Order: sequence, then C-alpha cells, then structure tokens
Amino acid sequence: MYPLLNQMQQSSPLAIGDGVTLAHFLVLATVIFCIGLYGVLTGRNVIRVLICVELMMNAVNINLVAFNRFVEPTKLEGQIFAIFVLVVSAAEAAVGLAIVIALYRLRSSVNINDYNELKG
Amino acid sequence: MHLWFMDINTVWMVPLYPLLAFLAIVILRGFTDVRARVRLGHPPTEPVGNKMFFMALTVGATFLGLLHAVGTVSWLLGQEAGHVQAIERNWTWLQAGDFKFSLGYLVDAMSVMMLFVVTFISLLIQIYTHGYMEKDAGYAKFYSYLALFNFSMLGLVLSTNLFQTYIFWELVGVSSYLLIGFWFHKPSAAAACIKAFLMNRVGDFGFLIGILGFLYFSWGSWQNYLSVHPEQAVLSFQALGVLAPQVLGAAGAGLFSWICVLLFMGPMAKSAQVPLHTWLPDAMEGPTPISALIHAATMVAAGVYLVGRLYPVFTPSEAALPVVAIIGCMTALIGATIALTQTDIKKALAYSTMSQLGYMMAAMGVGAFAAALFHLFTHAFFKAMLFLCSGSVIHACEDEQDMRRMGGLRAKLPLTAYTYLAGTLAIAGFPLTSGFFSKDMILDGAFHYGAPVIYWVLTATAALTAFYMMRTYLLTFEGKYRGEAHVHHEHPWMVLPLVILAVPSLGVGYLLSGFFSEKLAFAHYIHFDFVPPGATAVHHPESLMALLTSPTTLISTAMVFAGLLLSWFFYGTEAGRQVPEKIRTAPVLSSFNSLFAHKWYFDEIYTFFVDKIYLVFAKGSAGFDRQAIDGLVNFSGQSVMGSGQALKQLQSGRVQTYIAVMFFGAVVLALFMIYCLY
Amino acid sequence: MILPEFITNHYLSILFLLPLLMACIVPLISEKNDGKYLHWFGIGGSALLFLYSALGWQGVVAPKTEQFSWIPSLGISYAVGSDGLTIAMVLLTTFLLLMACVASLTNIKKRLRLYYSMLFVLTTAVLGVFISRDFFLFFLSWELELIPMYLLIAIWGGPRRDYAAIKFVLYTLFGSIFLVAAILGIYFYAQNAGVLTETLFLFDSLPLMLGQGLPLTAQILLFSGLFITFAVKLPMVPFHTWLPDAHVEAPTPISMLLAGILLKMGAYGMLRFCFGFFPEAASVMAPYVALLAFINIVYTAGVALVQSDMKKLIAYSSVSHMGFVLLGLAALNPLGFNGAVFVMFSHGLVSAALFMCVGTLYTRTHSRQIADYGGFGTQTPIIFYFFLFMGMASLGLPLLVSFASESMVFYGAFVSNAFQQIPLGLFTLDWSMQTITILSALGVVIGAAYLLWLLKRVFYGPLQDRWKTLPDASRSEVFVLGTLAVLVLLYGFFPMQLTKHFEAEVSKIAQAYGKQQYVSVIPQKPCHLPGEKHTAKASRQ
Repeated sequence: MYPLLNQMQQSSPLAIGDGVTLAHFLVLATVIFCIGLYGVLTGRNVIRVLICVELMMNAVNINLVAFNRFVEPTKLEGQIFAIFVLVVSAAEAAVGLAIVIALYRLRSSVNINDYNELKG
Repeated sequence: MHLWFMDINTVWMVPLYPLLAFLAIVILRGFTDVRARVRLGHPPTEPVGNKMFFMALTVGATFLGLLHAVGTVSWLLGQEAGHVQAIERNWTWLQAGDFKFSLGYLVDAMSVMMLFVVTFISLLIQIYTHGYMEKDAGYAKFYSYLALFNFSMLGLVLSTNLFQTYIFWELVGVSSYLLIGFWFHKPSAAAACIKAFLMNRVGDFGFLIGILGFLYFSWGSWQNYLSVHPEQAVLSFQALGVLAPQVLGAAGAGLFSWICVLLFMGPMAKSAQVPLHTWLPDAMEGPTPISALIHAATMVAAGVYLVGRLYPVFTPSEAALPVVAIIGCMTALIGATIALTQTDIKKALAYSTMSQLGYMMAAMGVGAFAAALFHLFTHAFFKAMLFLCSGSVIHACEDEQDMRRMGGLRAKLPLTAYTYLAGTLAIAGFPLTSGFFSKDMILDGAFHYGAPVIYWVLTATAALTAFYMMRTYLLTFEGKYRGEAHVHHEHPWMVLPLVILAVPSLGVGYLLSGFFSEKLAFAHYIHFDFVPPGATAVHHPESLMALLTSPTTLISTAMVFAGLLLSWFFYGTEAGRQVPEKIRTAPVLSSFNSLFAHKWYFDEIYTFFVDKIYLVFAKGSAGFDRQAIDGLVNFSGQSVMGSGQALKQLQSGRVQTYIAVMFFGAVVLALFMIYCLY
Repeated sequence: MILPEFITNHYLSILFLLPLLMACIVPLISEKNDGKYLHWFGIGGSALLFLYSALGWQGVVAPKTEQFSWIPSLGISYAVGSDGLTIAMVLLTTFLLLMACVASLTNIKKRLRLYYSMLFVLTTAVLGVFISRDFFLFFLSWELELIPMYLLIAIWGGPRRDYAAIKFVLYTLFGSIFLVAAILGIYFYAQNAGVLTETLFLFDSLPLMLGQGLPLTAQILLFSGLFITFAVKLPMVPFHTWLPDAHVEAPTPISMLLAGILLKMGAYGMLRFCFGFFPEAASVMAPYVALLAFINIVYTAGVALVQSDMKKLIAYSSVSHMGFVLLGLAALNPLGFNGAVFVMFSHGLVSAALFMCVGTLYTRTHSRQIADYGGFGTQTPIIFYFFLFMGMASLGLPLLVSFASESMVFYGAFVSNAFQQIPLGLFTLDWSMQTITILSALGVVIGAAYLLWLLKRVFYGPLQDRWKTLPDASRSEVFVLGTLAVLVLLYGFFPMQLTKHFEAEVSKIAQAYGKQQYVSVIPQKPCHLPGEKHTAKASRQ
C-alpha cells in the first residue's frame, strides 16, 4: 500500500529489538508532528503555539535520527542535523519569546488573533 | 517709353502688391501695437502713424494692379479678336515623387476682364472706405484686410490650375470671414462670419472632391499632356477641355456628371446659389464697403467666373449644365421673392445680389457663356455702386439700416439719390443702361434654350427685380423722412466713387455691345462655341439693333416697365400706399408673404439639421468616447484593482490560517507526488 | 565653418548625449531669484541644442552613422544614424524644446531643477528614438521617454494629474508589450532562420533579413504588433483616451511637447517600421489603416465639437489631425507618405502653438471652460490674433503650413491604388481608398466648425465684467507664438523648403510598393472631342 515504506523496510539492513522498524519511528514522529500541528493551528495563546512548534521540530528530529540509523548507519549526518535543529530552535525560542514579551507589552495580550497587522 | 506694367510677363506681380501692402501694415501697425501692449499693458494711446499712410499703401497697391490691368487690356485689344492666345506660366510650389503642385498666372480674355473689374472696383471702394471708416478704431486693420482680400482675389483671377484656384478660393473665403466679423464684439457679426465660412467650407468640400475626382480619372494622361505643353501644370484650365472627354470616357456618364456637380458645389457656395445661399444676407453684418466689394461685385461673382473656367469640363457632361441652369434659375427667383419683403436696405440689396448671381448661373447653364460673364461685368459696377449708396445713406443716418425709418433722403443726399436711381435703372434693365444689354443677352440665350420654363422664370424675375429695386429707392429717397436720427451730409470721399461708378453702370453696356466697334464687342473676346443640348444653334445677336428689336427684349422691357410702374404706384403715390398692406393680409397671398419673409425657411432647416441631428450625433460620439472607450479603459484598470481587493481577503493576517493552508498544500502536493509521479 | 573632426565624426552621439549632460548640470544651478538662472540655463541649453541640430539640418555637418557592438551575444549594437526624415524630426524636437523652455518662463514656478533635468532627459529619449539605427536602442529610448514624461505630468500638472500621468504610462506600456513581442518575434525568427548575427537589430540589416522568405502571416503579425505600439502613441482611436487627459492635466510647455513631438514618435515609427519594413503586410493591412484613419479624423472631430473644456477640444483636434498621417500612410505612394511626414511637421508647429494659446489664456483666467470666456478679442487682441491665425492654420487655410501637408495627403490618398474594398471577416465593405478619402475630407468641414465655434465663443461677442483687467500676452508668450507663426507662414508659402529635406528619403520608402501605388485608369469608351460629340447631337435634332 505504501510502496515507499515497503521499499524502505525491505532495504533496511538492521532492525532494533523485536521487529522495531523504521516505520515505527516514522509513525511516532508523525503522531508527534500532528499533535504539534494541531496545537499550532488551534492554539490561541502565542506561548502554546511556540511550544507546539518546538514539538513539530522534535518530530522532525526523530525522523532525521531514525533515517540516519536505518539508511546510512555508518554516517552521522542525521544526528548532526538534529543537533543543529535543536540549537537553532533554542535560539528561535529565545527570540520568539522575546518578541512575545514585546508584543504583550504593546497589546497586553498573548492571544494570537490580536496580531493581524499584516491583514490585506 | 517702356513701362513695366504694359509688359504682359509682369502680371505675376499683381497679387504681390496687395500682399506686400498687407504685410507692411501688419508689421508696421501690428508691431507697434504689440510692443505698446506688452510694455505698457494697454494699447497705444497715441494714434500709430498717419492713418492716410495705411490707406495709401493699400490704395497704391491696388492702383499698381489697375495699371497692370490696363496693360493687359491693351494687350488684349492688340490680339486678333476671337483668337486670343492665352499666356500661361507656372512655378512648382510643392513636389512629391514626380507629382507637382504648381502656381502661376494665366492671362486670357476672361482673366483680363476679371482683373480689370477687381482692380477698378477695389480702387474705388478703398477710396470710399476712407470716408466710411474714418472714425473707426480698426481703420488700419480694415485696410490690411482689404489688401489681403485683394491679394486673394487677384490670385484667384490669375489662377492657372484648379489647385491654385482652390488655394485662393479659400483665401477669399477667409478674407470674407475676417471682414464680416470685423466688428466681432457684435454677436450677430460673430454668428454671420462663422456661418459664411462654414457654408463655404461645405461648398469647398465638394469642390475639392470634384478636383480629386477629375484628377483620378485623368491621372494617366497628365504626363503625356505636360510633355507636349511644358508651360502648363497639372489641372491647368487650358488642359481641362482636352482631357475632359477622356475623363468622361473613363468615368462613364453618370460618374462624370457627379464630378461636375461636385465641382459646381464650390461656385454654388461662393456665389450664394440655392441651397448654399443663406450666408450671403447674413454677411451684411460686415461694414458696407465690404458688402459692396466682396459680397456684391467681386468675390461672389467668382463662382460664375469659375463656372466659366470649368465650362470645357461641364459641356461634355449631359447633366452638369442643366443642373447649373436649374440651380441658377431657382436662386434668381427665390432671391427676388425674398427681396420683395425685406425692410433692411442692405439685406434687400443682398437678396438682389443673390438673385442676379442666379441669373448669371442660369445664363451659364443655358449656354449663354458670354452673356453670363458680361452680366458679371456690368453687375459688378452697378451693384457695387448701389451698395456704396446704401453705405452713404447708413453713414448719413447714423447707422440706421431700416428703410421704414428712412424716406425723403434725396434732399439731404442728392448725389447718392441720383446714383442710386441710376443703379436701380441699370439693375432693372432699363433700356440702354448697362444692365439692359447684359440681361437681355441672357434672356435671349434662355429663349433659345430648350426649356421655356427657364426663360419665363428669368423674365418674371426681371419684373420682380424692377419692382423691388424701385421699392427700395422710393422707400429710401422719396416721400417724407420717417426716422429720428439726424441726417448728415454726404461725405466727399464717399461721393466721388459713386459718381465714377455711375458712368460704367450706365454706359459700359452700350460701349461693349459692339455698337461702336467690332473691336470692342465683349463677345468677340469672351465666347465659348458650344450648342447646349436642346438649343437650336449658337446664338449671337448680330447687332445692337437686332438685340433691341428681338422679341425677348420687347417682352422683358415691357415687364421691366410694368415692375417699375407698379412699384411707383405702391410706394410712390398716395393712392397705392395701402395696397402692400392689403396684399400682406390677403388670404392666399399672406402665406406667400410669410414664406418670402421667412426666406423660404432655409435657415430653419439648417438650424434643425445642425442642432437636432449633427450636434446630437457629436454629443453621442463624445459620450461614447467618455463612457464606452474610456469606460473600457477605466474598467480594465478598475478590474485589476477590484481583483486585488478581492484577493487581499485571503491575507487574513492570521498565522494559523496560513499554516493550515500551507500544511494542506503540502499534503496535496505529497499525495500528488506519490500517486501521480510514481 | 570648420568644426573639429571629433564633432563631425560623432555628431549624432553628441546630439544624443548633450541633453543628458545638461540634465546633469541642471541640479548644480542655484534656484535663487525665482529660478531665474535655471530658466535661462534651460533656454540657453535648448537654444544651443537647437543650433547644434541645425548644423545637420543645414548640411554644415553630414551626420555619420556610428555603430559598435554592444551586447554581441544577443546581436544588439549601439548604432545611431541619420537621414532626411530623422534630421527633420530632430530639428522639430530641438526647436519645440526651445519653445517649451521659453514657455516655461511663465508657466512653471516650482521645483525647477527637477523640471529642467527631466525636460532634458526627455529630449535625450526622444532624440534617441529618432536617431537610433538599432531596434534595441530604439526600444530603450522609447521606454526611457516614459519616466520623465510621467514625472512632468504628475508633479507639475493640474488637479487630476496623478490619474492622467498613470493613464499615460499604463497606456504606453500596454503598447510597448507589442513592441517587445515584435522584437522577440524578429529575434526568434532570425534564430530559426539561422541568420542570428551580431547586427541582428540594425535597421539596415533588418529588412534584408526579413526579406529572407518571412511568411506573410508572420509579417502581418509583426506589422500589427508594431502598429498597435505606435497607434497608442499616435494616438489612434480607440487607443486615444490617454491623450485628452494627459493634455488637460499637463502644464502648457509639456502639452506643447506632447502634441508636438511625442505623438510624432508614433507616426515616425509607423512609417519607418510598419510601412518601411513590411511592404507586403502593409499592402494587406492598408484597408484597415485607412478605415481607422477615417474614424480617427471624423469621429474625434465630432467629439471635439461638443467639448466644453478648451484644452480638451484642442487635444481632440490634435488626435483628429494625426488621422491624416494614417491616411497618408495608407495611400502607399510617395505623395501620401510625404504628406504624412509633412503633416507630422505642420501638426507639430500648429498644435503646439494652439496649446500655447490655450495656456496663455489659462494663466490669466485659471479656467479652461469655454463658457467662462467670451469677448476676449477686445481685451486681449494679441492672444486673439495669434489664436485666430493658428486656428486658421489648423483648419487648413491655404498658404499656411497645414494646408500644403493635408493637400498632399488628400491628393496622394485619392489617386492611390491601395485597395478597392475592405474585407471585414463577416462581410466586405465596398469602400475603395477614394471613398475613404472623400469621407475623411468631411473632417475638414467639421474641423473648421469646431475651431471657428471655439473662436467665436472665446473671443467674439461682449466681454464679461470680471475679465476687464486682464493683461494681454507677455513678452515671452509673444516670442513663442510669434516664432511659431512666422514658421507656419513661411513653410506655408514655401513648403518645398521643408519637404526638400525628407522628400527623397520618404519617396525611397514608398518605392517598395512598386508600380501599383497610383491609379491607372483606362478609358472604357473611345474619346470624342467635345466639338464632334455635340455637333453630332445637334445634327440629330
């Protein structure tokens, strides 16, 4: 049904434990990503939205690490990327929170719907 | 002694004299005026130069022209009568590829006649003008316009080809426009001048198309023709006769007649022929010397002259000359009937002019070529004189023009009255005056033409002419004075031209009828051997006695006497004084009276056409331009703006919406890649 | 006069760049004394430019073609050249620039530095259009002209200047799309035909290249594309509505330049490209061009008649007269082409003068509504007589310059053999070139009507009391109008003095149309001499 996934499963050189395959990681990452996305789309509080963005990034990190482990186990690109993402997201969280504080001082609100200055 | 003006090859100078006079006045007078206005902010308070100087410039130029005219007359008399070898010379004016427009001069009997008439009458009228315009602020301007007119008119007279004719044809039109609107602060003058110009433009439009049509069908022949006659130019008058049959052959009879009729539209407008005549009476808003010079003696007669020039084109056509005859006949009758009801002395004379021009045209149409031009010649003298007399009267009565407030002026203005009477008799065709000869030659020609109705209409018009001219004389000069204005004495500068003009008005017909000498007979120089369809033979009255005793002369003389006597009875005696009023209120006659008094409703019809049809159409066009075309343009702009307005709603400013759209977009894209690309 | 060799060798490039140099100097000049120094620099600079261009006109310098490769990979080069047609247009440009600078004395009061530098940039662009001999350079100049013109209208214009300026630019850009398309068309045609060379866009090589079997359909497409571009500029109905707005809002000197020069760019382009490069396509398209010419002349004349705004009336009359250019071009013969070029010239002088007249009145009354006027003939006689004179010139009075040009157009169009009928898809309009000419001649009658009516309403009749203190024309206004009047009169009397400069060149363009350019009417019936015919008739009776 999923040709790409099947292909990946067949070609994976290593399995972890009792048949834990790449697919499990991907499903986990998808679930986390969807939770994050749901939070981003529905959250009214800017802080929550930011946290959910972090969640989505971490889902991506799981993917990066998992693919590295199952596809190219001899190399470390995926891990390095994941660390990059962590660093950048930390910086982003800092900047984002600073902006949120500035916005809060301006509007006394952290409701995302109050910030539609770019409305056409 | 050899004098330059006796040399026929110096005729090209004739139009240049008045042109130089015009430019000199514009430069001398205009520059000082402009300088004063620019520097001081108001017109010069002191009179600029001596008034007489500007007059001397114009009169001098015309006098030089008259000298040349005398030279050409002596040249003409030196030629063998009946075989005048025309002299033509051309200069290229404009060239493109191998096509040339040329200007030049053509001297033959017709142009000599016109040259003499124009310079002679102009000279007298320019002298008269000094008396008439002495106190007017626009004295110098008036003389400059007169010089401009003289330039145009003399250029027209000497034209070698139709293109040159068109140039000067328009230029006389614009001189007329300027002079009619000379007192442009008067709304009536402003309306009259624009009407004159536009009506002439309509005629010129036809004239231009006619010229182009003739050129179109003769296009291939000019190169051959001009290689044989290198001194001539494209559309030369002398060539028209040679090429007209070819044009007829190429165009076919129907189209050729249309070309002729279109060519005739020019003369129709210029000579105030029905239905393009309504500008002429209104043109009387101009100063009276102008009415005499332009709108009686010279410019309006140019139409007849041009028809004479175009005769070789018209004769091969079956329809052209009959059209000319019918239009001329209608004009003669309509003009005379309207003149019956006029109370304004100048308007009455204007309708009389129109009627007489119709006479000439009708004469052209019936093949009485020489008679038409002879009538042009004699009419110029007596009509100019009549107008100048009316000017003298108006000047004396402090700008009163209504004959109902005149009367008995003979006591104060004796010379004016007698010259006016002489003019009245001449135009009525009283035996042995100049008008008698020319008018009876026309009637003679009409009698021998196939259609009797034309003859009878013209004869009836002769009676009407005698009647209404006598009426104007009686109302103005006889009886008791009915006005309030103080009547001044005659101005000496104005009387002199009247007296001089009275001589040819009475005597020139006698002189040129061939009674004294064959050499002097008008028709020996100006003639066109052509038998109109329906006529029996070329008809030339052999002698004066033959003309005097011919039946047509007897009939018309009887009609003239009847007209004169009836007029005298109505307006000169106590017994008949009530009759005109009774006629005006009689049941059938009153409707005629109102038809004539409303000038046959031509103005109403034109006003309707312009106001209700053309202006509505033009307003429609303007609305279409604004609403439809510009509307489309603005709509295309606004639709871009509108679509932007609509699309900007998508930019809600809410990040979460963007993310949602982005996510679903990514999903759709991913599904697309998965299912369609793999 | 002996000029340095450098000038004689680079005459045209110097001409091209001189106004640009002046535009760079202008910002360095002080705006003190109400901009006196700037005004005098403008007048002096344009006078210098005029004298410089007169060198080429009078034949003191024989302008040399200059050419060097610019973007070789695309076949683009810098090439300027000159012939009779070009130098005539160049002289008209520099002359009218001088007139506009003098007219600016009384009409322009604010931001003079920007004004004069934009005026000179505009001049460079216009001169570039006329002297370029490379299609790409032409296009560049064509587009460059938009920027200064936009600013000149949008900054110094009347109340609705923004609207007018944007409309002008968008309209012209709309036209330029087709110019770009035509250029690309030529480029790709050349690529397909394998004739892509370093001199792809040179005027001299273009016709040769296009002559290499370019199919008629392609020719017609290229012709139409170029035609629309130039028709917008001309302007031609229905692409004309930018012009009344632009004219009404533009200040007087800019109106003069707009009517006098910018419209001529369209006419010039039409003659040189549409009719010069694609004779076969032009022969096919001539009926439509003539039909559009007729609509242009008569329709806009009618619209002009009922305008209540004086300047708009003159603007529409200007559009109407440009229709004569189209008519002359559609004639496809030397007479018509020369007439068209001559109309460009006469229209440049006369319509510029008419706009000057209107502007002179406007600066006094601050009204353009004809209804506000009346009786000005007694109050401002100088303006009146100039207006009268120019009005007469505009309505085609003989011995003034428009008459000679319009006569050539009419005669050329009437004896043209361009077409006999106009196929219009669904049906065929049975109008020959002659019919169109007759109908277009109606424009002369209507032209007289609207001009005389305008004169009557503005100058004739009694004067309103509120205008009794108005001053007459000032010195600079008299200078501008007087100079134009002298030229109108001079070239009206001696038109050959003007036509001799471009006649040969323009007739050469017409030669491509072969022998079919004039009618050849063969008599269908044998000729009779008049005497024969009528004696026969007489004897029958």
